[in-house]
Amino acid sequence: MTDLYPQRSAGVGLRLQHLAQVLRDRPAAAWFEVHPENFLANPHAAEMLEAIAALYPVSVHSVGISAGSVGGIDRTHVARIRSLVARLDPILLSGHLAWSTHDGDYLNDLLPLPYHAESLGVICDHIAEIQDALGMVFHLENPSNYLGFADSTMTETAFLGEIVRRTGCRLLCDVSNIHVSAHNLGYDARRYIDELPADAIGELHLGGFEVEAEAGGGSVIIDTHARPIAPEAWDLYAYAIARFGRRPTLIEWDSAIPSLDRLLAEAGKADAVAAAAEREVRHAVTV
Amino acid sequence: MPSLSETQAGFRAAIAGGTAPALLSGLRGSTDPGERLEIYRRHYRESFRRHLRGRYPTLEWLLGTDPVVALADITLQHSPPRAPSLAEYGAELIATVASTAGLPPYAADVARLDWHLGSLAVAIAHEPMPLAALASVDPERLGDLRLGLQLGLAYVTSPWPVDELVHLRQQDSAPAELVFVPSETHLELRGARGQFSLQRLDTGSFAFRSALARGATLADAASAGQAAAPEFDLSTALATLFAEGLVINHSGGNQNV
Repeated sequence: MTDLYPQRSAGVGLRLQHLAQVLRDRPAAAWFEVHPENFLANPHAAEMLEAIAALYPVSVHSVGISAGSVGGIDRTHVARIRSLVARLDPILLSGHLAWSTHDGDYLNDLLPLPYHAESLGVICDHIAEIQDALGMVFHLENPSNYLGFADSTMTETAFLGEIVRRTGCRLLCDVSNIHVSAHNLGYDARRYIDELPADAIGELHLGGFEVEAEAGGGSVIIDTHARPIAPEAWDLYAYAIARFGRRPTLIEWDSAIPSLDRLLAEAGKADAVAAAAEREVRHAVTV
Repeated sequence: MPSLSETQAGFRAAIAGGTAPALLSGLRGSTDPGERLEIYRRHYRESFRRHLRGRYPTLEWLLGTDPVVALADITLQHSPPRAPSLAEYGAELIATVASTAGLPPYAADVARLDWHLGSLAVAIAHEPMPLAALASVDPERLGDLRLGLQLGLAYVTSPWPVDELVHLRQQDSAPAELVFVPSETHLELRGARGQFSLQRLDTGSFAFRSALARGATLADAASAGQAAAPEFDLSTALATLFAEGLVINHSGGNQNV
């Protein structure tokens, strides 16, 4: 039987500035995640990535596939990703519960969706098309949200569960995004995790964020991926491991990018937190 | 309830344009949805500014950050990206520079150099073809030959010596006073695997090589070289082209087999 979760150790997001170092030093990384959009117009980087994919497991995480766009997905872009996927033979394929394009304009952000019947139909059709085109199961990531919509008729967790049921896709549970959205929209992060379909969780993400003060005296958390993982996110990660079991976990760091050693140390911390959470679960079961 | 299309159109207008009152009334999550919407607006604006500044380092060195940010904003307004690979976006800024009053007359050519150098530096160099490979071509058909050049090549001409500005920027050198006078400059830009270089060509070689790069036959490229410079010598030009490793394949001439 195929092991659904081959990577017990945490991986890190691989950014352009670290490609040459990885090839030269071959660090003890468990696996790498790449954004295909960084490589499609960069033959030199794609050449290095292909060499890295021969040495390490690689996951492909699209930030531009725009599965939630009502105007349809960009089939040229999907075809280009397919070409990259064929060269890399990735262990995982993922993208976001979000949209990025409208009327052909690309907005370079992961924008929020209302959760209702129409948006459900749109994203299910697109995920089915992506899975057919790429020949892989798509892992759909919960977004970091700053806003919700008055016309949503479903919770985000119910929406995600229904997408899984209709398309057979799996979920990429971004633990930090749950903390960010729960703070920003005022819900309970642990309850959100409890509501997710545990069997569908194929991957976990952890990323850094920053708190900004708001005019009314409150605060908003911005998902910057520019800092170490915060203590609140580590706590929630341990809770997620206790709930879902060990899953491939990825450290995201996309701006103010530190040294590769710093990233790998963060991945090591994820492994330690996950191992401790697993021990606690076993201990709780035996007493 | 708005359709999903109306919601996304409103969101796009609010982020890339201005306000969208109809959208605001349908948003939830804080006491002031407009303040939260500003987070998306700020990300949209800043991410493209950062990207475009990165693509035009010499232009920013020349004009300063604020003018380049202003040019980036105009470009984004008039020519937003149409594809999700951000690395491919930004050539439109050259037209913005060319149509903006008050900038140095060579600013658009500097922008053009920046754009090409950034694009060429990520190319891959292919194995060069030796000149001896042409021995297999029927001599009668040599003129019909088309030479495939390395992908990391571009040919740019300017009435100003704009390459000097790139060199100054690379040296991080800002002279107190720069005497910059018009001088017709023909440049060959090369790049591969993270590196790039610029070299000046004489007019004949420039016409010859740029014609080949556009897909002209050897005969037409030679004619272009001779038209640009009567002293142009095809044998020397061809030998130099191969010696510099710029030819990677050929097509169009019958093989002498």
